[in-house]
Formats: sequence, C-alpha cells, structure tokens
Amino acid sequence: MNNTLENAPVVDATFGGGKFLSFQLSKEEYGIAILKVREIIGTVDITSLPRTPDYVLGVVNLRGRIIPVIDLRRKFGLEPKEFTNETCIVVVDCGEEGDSSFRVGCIVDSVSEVLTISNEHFEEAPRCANSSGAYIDGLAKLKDRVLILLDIDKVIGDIDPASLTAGAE
Amino acid sequence: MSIANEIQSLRQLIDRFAESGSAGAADLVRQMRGLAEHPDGKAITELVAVCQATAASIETLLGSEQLGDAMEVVEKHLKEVLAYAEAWGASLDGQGDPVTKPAPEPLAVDHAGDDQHYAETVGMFVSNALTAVSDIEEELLSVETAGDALEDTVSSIRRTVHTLKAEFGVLNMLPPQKLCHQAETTIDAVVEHGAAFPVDLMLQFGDQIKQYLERLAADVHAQFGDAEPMLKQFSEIEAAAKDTPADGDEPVDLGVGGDFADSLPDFISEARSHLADAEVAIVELSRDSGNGENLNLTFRAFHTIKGVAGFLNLSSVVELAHVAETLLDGARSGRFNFVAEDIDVVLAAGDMITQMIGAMEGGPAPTMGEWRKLISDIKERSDAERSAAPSPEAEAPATAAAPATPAASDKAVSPAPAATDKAEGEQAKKPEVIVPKKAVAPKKKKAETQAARVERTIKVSTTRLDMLVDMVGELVIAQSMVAQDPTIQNLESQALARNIGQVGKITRDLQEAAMSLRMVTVKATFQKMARLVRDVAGKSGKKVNLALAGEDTELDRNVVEQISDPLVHMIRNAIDHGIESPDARLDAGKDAEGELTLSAYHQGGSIVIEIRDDGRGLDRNKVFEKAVTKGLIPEGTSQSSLSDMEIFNMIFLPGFSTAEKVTDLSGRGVGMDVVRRNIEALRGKIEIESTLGEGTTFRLRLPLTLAIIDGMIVRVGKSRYVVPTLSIEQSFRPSTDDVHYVVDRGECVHVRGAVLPIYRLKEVFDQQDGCTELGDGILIVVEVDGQRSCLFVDEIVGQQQVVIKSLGMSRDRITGLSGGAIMTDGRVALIVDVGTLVESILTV
Repeated sequence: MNNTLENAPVVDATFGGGKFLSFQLSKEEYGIAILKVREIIGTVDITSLPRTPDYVLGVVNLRGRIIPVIDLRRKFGLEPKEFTNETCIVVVDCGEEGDSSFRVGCIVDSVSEVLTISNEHFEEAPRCANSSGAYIDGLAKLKDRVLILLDIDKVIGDIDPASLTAGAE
Repeated sequence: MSIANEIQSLRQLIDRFAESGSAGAADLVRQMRGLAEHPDGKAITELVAVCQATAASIETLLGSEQLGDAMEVVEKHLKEVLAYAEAWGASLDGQGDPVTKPAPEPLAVDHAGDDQHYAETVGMFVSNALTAVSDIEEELLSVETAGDALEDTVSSIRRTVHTLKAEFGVLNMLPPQKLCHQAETTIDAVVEHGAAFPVDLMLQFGDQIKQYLERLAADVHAQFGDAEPMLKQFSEIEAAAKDTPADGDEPVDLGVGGDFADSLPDFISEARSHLADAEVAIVELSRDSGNGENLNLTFRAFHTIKGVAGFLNLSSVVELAHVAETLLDGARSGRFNFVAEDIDVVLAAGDMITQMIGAMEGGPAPTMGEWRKLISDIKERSDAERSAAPSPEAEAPATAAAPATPAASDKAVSPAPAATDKAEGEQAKKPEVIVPKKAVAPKKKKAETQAARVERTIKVSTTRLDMLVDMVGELVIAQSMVAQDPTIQNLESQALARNIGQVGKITRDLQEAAMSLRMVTVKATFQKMARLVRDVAGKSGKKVNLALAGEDTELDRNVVEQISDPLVHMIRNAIDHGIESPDARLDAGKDAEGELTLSAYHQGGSIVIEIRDDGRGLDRNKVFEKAVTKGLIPEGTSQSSLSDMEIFNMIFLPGFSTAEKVTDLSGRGVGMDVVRRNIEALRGKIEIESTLGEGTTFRLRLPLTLAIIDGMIVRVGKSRYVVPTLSIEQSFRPSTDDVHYVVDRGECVHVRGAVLPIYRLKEVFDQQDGCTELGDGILIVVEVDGQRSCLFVDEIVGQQQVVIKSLGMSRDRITGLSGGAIMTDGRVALIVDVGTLVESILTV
C-alpha cells in the first residue's frame, strides 16, 4: 500500500499524489511524504559526531536507539540558525525495508501541517543545474504558496556511511 | 500323409519300440521328427518340442548303449507324446474342443480335472492382478501429484509389475508377459538414468493389463495379441532414458515452494538443530559404537527431518533422510553393527541435507549425481549382508528398538510405510538375529523426558529479542533518572525511597534476565569441533581423542557464532602441526592416541576457551628462526631478549607457518593471523602457552557478550567517550618533565622507560573545547596489537559497563569509533575503538 506513495515521487510523470508533512526551512516550505515520517520530536541533547560532514550534527538517543541527526539547513547550504522553541527533529525512515533501512533525524525550523497533494497540484522541479536539485521530487503549487517536495531517501542517501567517511577526509 | 495317419503310425512305432528296444528306435525317431515337421502340427508348439526332445534323447540313449536302464523313462515320455498327438488328431477331426491351450507342463502325467483347476487358478490370478493394477494406478497418481517420483513409490510400482510379469509367465500368457517385461525394463532405465517417470504411459499400461485381465476373466482360455503400439512406446522411452545424458551435474530439485512455504524457515532451523545433534551423536558413536542412545538420537533426527520434509513435499530431502534412517534402523534394531563406513555415509547424508537446507536459503545445491550416488551408497550399506556380532555391546543398541521412540514417530508420520514394511520383512527373514527386548521401559521413559524438555523452549526472532533488550536498557536509564531526580530526592518519604529502591532492584533483575536471553551455551560449537577432529585426524592419519569440558558455559549468541571459524583454524593446526603421528608419539614415549582438550570456563568477567594438545609443542628456536628468515621481525633482534610469550606470538604474524609441508588441511601460513584478527574483532585476546615436547595450549579470552563492554568513561570538553577497559593499561597525570616533542613523531611521553606517542582525543576528534595543557588532563596508556600509545583526555569520569549500540549508520563504522552508549542521563557517549583510531592517526 505504501508502495505507490513511496515510489510515485520517483517517477515524476506518474505522481499519484498523497499526504505530505510540510515544514519550514529558512523562508521556504518543504514537504516529505508522510509515510516516510516516523515521528516528530523536540530538540534534545545532541552528541556531536567527529569525522563526519558538518551537516551531521551528531547522534541522539531515541528511546534506546541511537540515531544520527542532520541539519537540513546546512545540508541545503543555508545559513545555520540557533535552535528555537519551534525547532524540531523530524525522524524519518530511509532506504528499503529491512537491513539497509535506517532512521535519521532531520532538524527543521518548524513543522506546519499535513497536506494532501493531488496530481493537479504537482509540477516537476525546474531543471536548474543545482546540486541540491537532485533531492527534489517536484513542486506542489497550492493556493497561495509553493511546497518543495523532497525525496528524503536521496537527501539521506547522501549521508550514507561511504560518503560520511569520504567527507571526513 | 494326413496328420491322423502320422499319429497312427507313431503309435505303432512306439509299441514296437517298447517291445524290441533299440531295434525300432531309429524308425521311431524318424517318425517323430516327421511329425514335428508336419505342416499342420507346427501349430502345437508343445507337441513339436516334446517330439523333438524325445527323439533327441532316444538317439543319445542309442549312442550310449544304456538303453535298457532308461527304457522306462523314455516309454513314459513317449506315451505322453502319444496322448498329445491323439488329442490333437481328434481335435483336427472336429471331435473335441479346439486345442488352443495345451497344458502348461507337458510332462505332467495327470491331466484329470486340469481344466477345472486351471480356471480356478486363472480366476484367482485375475482378481489378485486387478488389485495390483489398481495399486499401481494409485501410486502413479501419487507420483503425479508429488511432481516427482519417490524412489519408494517407483520401486513399489516396479515390484508389482515384476510380479505381474512372473504370473503371466506362469500362465504362459506371452503377450501380457512381454508387455510387463518391457514396462519393467523401461522403469529400470528411467530410474537408472534419472529420466522423468512415464506416468501417462504407465497408466495406459495399467489399462491394457486390466483389459487383458477382463478378457481372461470372461474366458480363461482367451488368446491375446501383442500390444504393439504400447511396446513400442515403452521401448522409445527406454531408449530416450538411456540417451538422456546423466543429469549428474544438475542441482537437486529441492521442491521448495507450494502450500507450506511459510513453514520452511521453521523446518530449516529445526532440521539444522537436529542435524547438529545427530552429528554429535554419530561422532560419539565412532568412539563407542555400542551406545544405543546415540544411535537412537541419530535415527530420531533423520526420522523427524524426513517427516517434516515429507510434510513440506521436499522429496529429495525425504528420500535421503529415509535411506539414512533405514540404515540407522538396521543398526539400531541390531541387525548389524554400526561400523566406520556406516558412520561415514550417515555423516555424508547429514552434510548433504545441510547443504540442501543451505540451498533453500540460496546456497549451492548438491548435484543430482552426488545425491544419487550417496543414496545408492547408503542403500548398499543397509542392504549389505551383515550380521550382528554376538558381542554384548552389539546387543545394547538393540534394546532400544522401535518402541523407544514414541515422540519421534508421533511427530512425523512416515511417508513411506511400504519401505518400513520391507525393512520389517527383512528382519523377519533373518530369524537368527536375536533382538533382546530387555530394558525397553527405562529407555522409553528417557525419550519421553527428552521430548518434554524440548517442548519447553520457544523460538523468538532475534530482532524481537534485541528490541526487548533495548527497551529494558531504556527502562534502566529511565528508572535511574527518576531515582536521581532532585525533586524526588528532596521528598522525605521513606516509603517512597523504599519503593523506588524496589523498582530499581526489579529493573536490574529484569535487565539481567533480558541479557541472559541472548546467552547460549558453547555446546553446539564444541560438538561441531568433534566432527572436525574426526575428519582432520582421519585425513592426516593421526589418532586424536577429543575431550570437551565446560560445554554448558554460556556466551552471547553473536560471540558463539563468531568463534566457530577461529576454533576450526586452531583445531586444525593443533592436529596437523601439534599432534605427532602415532609412530612419532610412541617414539617419544607418549600414548599413540593424541589428546586434544577443548574447554570453556569463566575467568574474571570474561570467558576463556582453551584448546590444549599434548603434541610436540612450539619450538622457541624454530619459531624465532622462521620469523627471522621470513623477515617478519626486524633484523638484529636478539632471541634472548624476548620472552617465550613474545616469540610464540610470532606465529600470529601474517605469513608465518611452521609446518614443513603444506597440507590441504592447514599450513598455508594464513591461519593464525586470521584467527587473531577474528578474536580481536570480538574484543578478545589470544594467549599461548607451550612446552616443547609436551604440548601447546591456546587460550582465547572473550568478552561475555558483544553487547556490553567494560568501559572507562572519559571526558573531553563537554563530550564523553567510553574507552574499553580491555585496551587500557594504565592512566596517569603527566609531569611536564616527561613530555618531549620529537621531530616527525609529535609529542611523546616517558612511561617506565618506554617512550610513547601522545594522541590528544580533542584533536583527533576535532573538538573545539577541552584541555590543552597536558598537565591539566590525564594520559591513558592503551595497547593495541602490541603497540602502546597514550590518549590525552580531560578527566576520567568513572568506570562502568555500557551497552554498545550502533550509531545508526550501520553499514560502515566511523573510523575510531565502535559505536555509542547511552549514559545514565539518557545522553549518548561515543565508544572509542582504539585499534582503528591509532591506525587512522598513523596512516594520515
């Protein structure tokens, strides 16, 4: 059942719509497929992790499980910002089901709401040759705003261990 | 001459022959030959044959001049011939029944009431044969539904066809006999060449036979023609089967899938454990062949596997298990002794089933050729004419005959009752074998208690188990957070304090219990080694007795899984290089049989696994020389300055091998360094102790569990790190006098005469905060791979056991870190992996 939702954004032409969690990052509003989202927690003590790229803030204890936390601001080349009361960690499950899946926390400025985005609102991402463009599934044009739909697998796939060690050197 | 005249003159000649003896013989012979050649007479083959045979024997008698003695016999035969001839002649004259069916035994004298008797025989045959045919049909259908022909079924079909053939033969019904014969040879060819069983044709065959039988029932004298098209089809299939290139290289069709695919994982794990048990028992049997309980256990294992596999339609497994079971059953019931060759084939069967099970999980399957060969090997063993030795030991296994295994037989209904019957039949045919029934009752009881014990365990997936352990760990932390909360501590309620203490105690008990769930005994691993010892000793021509001790010692499941490979290496080495050949041992004044001891025990918070042999021991000088010639140690190292331990440890260097010759078992010089690496990956250590000529002892010191380590909690700035206590030698606050800056080597410190490099954790981990003055912090001396170095940290916070957790980016570790641990305040501390940390600093 979650197949359609997980896979749909990858194949743009057949975007089937679905529910997205929208969140704020700097001035922009982003969306992540809701089925990828595990939970949303407030900021907690983060143990910084040496020898990792700067956008990996460290690790936190999520009820006995240690998960890495990345700062989406830094990841997207935005100006880092002090944590506020609204700052949240969106915990997402990435990758395939099974062994290779892993859970990652993403720091966002604030979370807004869960939106249902249908096919008619969907538009492919403009093909500007920006490196971070690869993380974007497309755009959702709503009444008065535009939502950037993230392919969180690709965003997180980037912090795969291989690139983590590469980033350290 | 008409046939009537011929017969008339034959009668006259016989009469004359009877009177005058040899004088009339020549004429008689001529007449009989003529009769045999008579164009009308040829139709009656029996008469012709009798005539010819009689003529020939008379001629022989004439030649040998013993006519007088043999006269009577010949006369009797001649009367026989005459009776035939007259009956025939009469029929030709249209005065009797047409002779379509001469009596089956032409020389039988009494033919009175023959026809009546014959009709009865045929009637009985027809009804029996009809049952047989419908049996065949049933079996054919079972073959078709199973999609694969089980050997039992096929051989049962073949047997039935064979019986039919013989019966048709007795009744002299040649066409059906021919058809049965052809069917039988075709089945043989198909089985031998592993071609597909011709179910359709066999069904047609059944129909054809039924047709024959129905006609026979209607008329006992019915004549049949050959079923030509069917004969042709059979011979085509036979030829095709023979042409089929033996599919010996094809992998065995496991028959996985179908309705019960869900039960497969259960079957796999169950079968594995059964096979492991069986292997242990078999290996033990090789030492004590009279142990009936071991035979029973092995039998039960194969029986259960067969039953479950049968339920899952894994026909190839079923068949293999079945033949092994039959062999074991033979031994168990005392029909023969279980000897080394039997052990070999049963072990091979176990191995192959293991391989097949592995194949179900994606491993390589054994080939059809191997499979078939093994089956025929096992059959050969169980069919071999052997007798039980009359020794008292031989009787022992027999005491635990069939009734001793109620549990096993209840669990699995044998899919091949025919074969069991057969086995019983064989047993019945050999009345000279005495199966003592004494002591059955106590054995039975034992088997029952065993079954009961097995039922009390359940299988839990490891992920669930890990989850439980995680959650309990979390509970422990949460509990201590509550207990240490200032608000609660400020409350002056004794009851509350007591209750909180109680919760704390229960929590710790719970944690211990949860941890113990993951502990398993080393028994299974040790017992695997028993098999290895047997194989390696056999290959290297040495006699080795393996003694096991402390098999019940418990270790974390993960550790147990990972010590298996290093143990295999070390045991191979011990037998191949350590223990001498029997002759050499006798020369050295030792027992010809080498003693290898594998033991496990607790020592100071860790588990020690000890491998001790009483072989030739390590030669200090040889090891040193070897290390020098191989360039494994720096030149100019003096041997006297090194301790035994240091020299012996050289055998762990990559590229070291003391064996003069490289065998296929060990000695390529890769073994021991792999062993050390594996053990160190488990955060364990290896120690060697050896006395030349007396033997060698390897000691593996392993942590109780991989999940928990003893750690020193250190602080650098705001961060906390956990340094495994195992790698820490000492810690001290350096005085500035001892610290030097060495060009190209960085900071160094004098510690008891040694100069050690200093690595500042703060710098290694790029931390902004933390002490910069060495005098303000602490130096921790760590040792990895014999290399010592110092880590500089702000302070040592304390020492505690921590649960190692993955950092969530599981596929690769971050260099220098082996994971994270959740501290009592719920925050994460990073666990330092001293080995990779030092390595990474040195390589940069």
